[in-house]
Amino acid sequence: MCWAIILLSFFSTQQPDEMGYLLKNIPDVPVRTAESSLQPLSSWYSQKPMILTLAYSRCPGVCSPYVLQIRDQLAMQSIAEDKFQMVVLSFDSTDNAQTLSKLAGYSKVNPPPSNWTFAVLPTESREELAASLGLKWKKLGELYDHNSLLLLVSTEGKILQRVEGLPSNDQWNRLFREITHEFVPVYSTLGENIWTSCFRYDPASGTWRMNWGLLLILIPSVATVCILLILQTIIRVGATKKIANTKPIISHDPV
Amino acid sequence: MNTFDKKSTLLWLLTVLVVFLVAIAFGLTMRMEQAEITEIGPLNFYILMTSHGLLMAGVWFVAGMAGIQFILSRYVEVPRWGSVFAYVCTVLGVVVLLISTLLAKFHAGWYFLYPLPFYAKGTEHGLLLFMIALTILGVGWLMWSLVMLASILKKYSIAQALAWHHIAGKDGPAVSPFILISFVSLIGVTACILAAVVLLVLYYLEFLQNGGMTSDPLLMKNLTFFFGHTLVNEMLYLGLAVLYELFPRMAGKPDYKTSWYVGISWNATLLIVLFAYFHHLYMDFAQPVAFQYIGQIMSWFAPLPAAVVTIFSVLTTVYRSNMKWSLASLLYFFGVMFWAIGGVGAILDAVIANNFVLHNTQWVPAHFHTYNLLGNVFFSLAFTSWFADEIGEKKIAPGLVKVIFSLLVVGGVGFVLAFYLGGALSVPRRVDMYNEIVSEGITLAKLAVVCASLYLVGMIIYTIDFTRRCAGQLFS
Repeated sequence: MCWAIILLSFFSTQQPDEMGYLLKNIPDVPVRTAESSLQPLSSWYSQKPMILTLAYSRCPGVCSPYVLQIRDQLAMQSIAEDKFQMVVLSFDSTDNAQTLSKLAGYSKVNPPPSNWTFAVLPTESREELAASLGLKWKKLGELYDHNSLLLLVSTEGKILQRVEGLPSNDQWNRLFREITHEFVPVYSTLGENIWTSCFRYDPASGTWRMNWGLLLILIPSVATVCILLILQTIIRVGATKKIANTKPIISHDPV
Repeated sequence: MNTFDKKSTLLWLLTVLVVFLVAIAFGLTMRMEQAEITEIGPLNFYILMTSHGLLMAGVWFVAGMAGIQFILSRYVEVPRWGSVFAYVCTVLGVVVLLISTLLAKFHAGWYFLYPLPFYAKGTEHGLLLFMIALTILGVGWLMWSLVMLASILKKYSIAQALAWHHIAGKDGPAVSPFILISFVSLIGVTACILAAVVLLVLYYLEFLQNGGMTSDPLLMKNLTFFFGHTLVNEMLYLGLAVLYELFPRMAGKPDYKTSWYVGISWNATLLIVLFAYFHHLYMDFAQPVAFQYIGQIMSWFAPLPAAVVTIFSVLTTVYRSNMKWSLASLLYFFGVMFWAIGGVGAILDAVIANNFVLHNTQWVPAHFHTYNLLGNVFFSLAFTSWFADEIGEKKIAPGLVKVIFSLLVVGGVGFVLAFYLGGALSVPRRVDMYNEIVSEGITLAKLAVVCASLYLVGMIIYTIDFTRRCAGQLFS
């Protein structure tokens, strides 16, 4: 029974539509920073690409490990701090920069890197930004039920990447390559579930190899040759049978 | 000529002419929109563009097939049901196609390039109807093609129909150029329709799974242009096959024979045309580089066998001949010449370095309208005129020949000239309006409207005259 329910939920669950948000502009909403002043979001993304995540510090669930995971992944990369801006944005009006910084594991003795910013989204801007980013949140008592998002925003304010949940290694690699403007010939977003793909791309090594989807291009020509041979065979066999079935004309007339 | 061949061919040709007029009207409206004479809006523009492209390709393909069927019955017995089945499928397919575009608003272009159809807003039913239309057309045309291939194979083996014994200088049945070119073209037609089958299967799977399955856009684009590019080329060759049969007789010269070089040229064409479509994917960086080189080389080789041999044959036929310049012979001769001009335009575009500049400009519709509107259409109209002379009770008035021919040539040349100039001025294709950067496009569109109107008038006169002369035979 349980397996049936799990299987059913697997088929009925709507997969996150990450591609649907790509290249869409995000609204330039004002956010409150540590200085308690309201600044437009473009203050951070207009100069360099911005990695944006949404969390709140009182979250009893995924927010803390999620932000820590982001911190650790960014720390492992040797990308210069001036190449991108990291913004942790809270949708909880009770938050402030200090509580968010603490959520990310930083403190006075262990301050965040210079390209990290913690800010709080004013209540009036929350709906607009949430809709544009695909943030689904619902207030449950004093807490929030929400999805976890990581976004890469270009200097024009366009969403370049959107990951729902914890990014996979491929997704991290893709994000870092985008930040460093590395040319990526084939994106793995085509995914492993496309059995007709012409190529398989390994984002870790940057290598690709031909896949059997390319062979589908050969099907029409090969099938045509087969059809011709079959047609010819059928016609010849038919003609042979016709000759064999033809009764010889025997004359009964006396010579 | 038996009654069935006469009536079925007549029915095909009448249908073709009527649908052609409708398709011209669609194209004319698009150019009027670009000329800022009308204001139908982008959605209606792309609906018309989708309908226009598919109707034109389809209608002149079946015209070529009807011509082949008619002449082929001189050599072999061709079952009637192939033509009847294809006719029913074609009429039904065209009706569903027009419903999918005009009523259900499908507007992703003839090439319905993946994944665009799934993203076109408000056209879910349109996409399904569009796929059903293509399926109906594809089934009808595939069966027709196979029936004619089987008919040829009843008399000739594959090797004989491909004239390999002529190439090798061995004994064997004399294979006319008509049989050779028809066989080569029908093989290509079969291959490209099978490519459409694979393409449609992938579309259906994705459509029915509602996003549960996705396809590789690179594969889909390869299949789309394998189908589209090859079909458009093969329908030209269908017209040429009939030309090889009829043109020398119009000039009072002996029938063409299949020499070794004619055999080699058409065997080479069979292979080359299957690979030339790669030039449509120059902009696809993920396409293997080797394919791009193949596309480039095959595009250079493509005109050599078929075009050069045909042009040479036609010129030598006309030279010092007793040609009686009827509408049919005029259309054949000028059709070949315009085909050559359009071919040069195509090769220029198929050079990778040029393609970077010309790819999205009006140079593209310029060259394919040249060898279709002034080439392939002329071939089929030449056959239609010859057919009308053969079966018609009345002859066409000499003055009318001059009027129709002048309108078609002047209108057609002016129409494609506007596209060529637009291409040279970097006016983009496939857009419904031009901004101030390419405002020359508006002026050129006005020129195109005038010239297309002349062409349309010529076709209306031609259709009325053809109907007047032949329609009675349909009910006799």
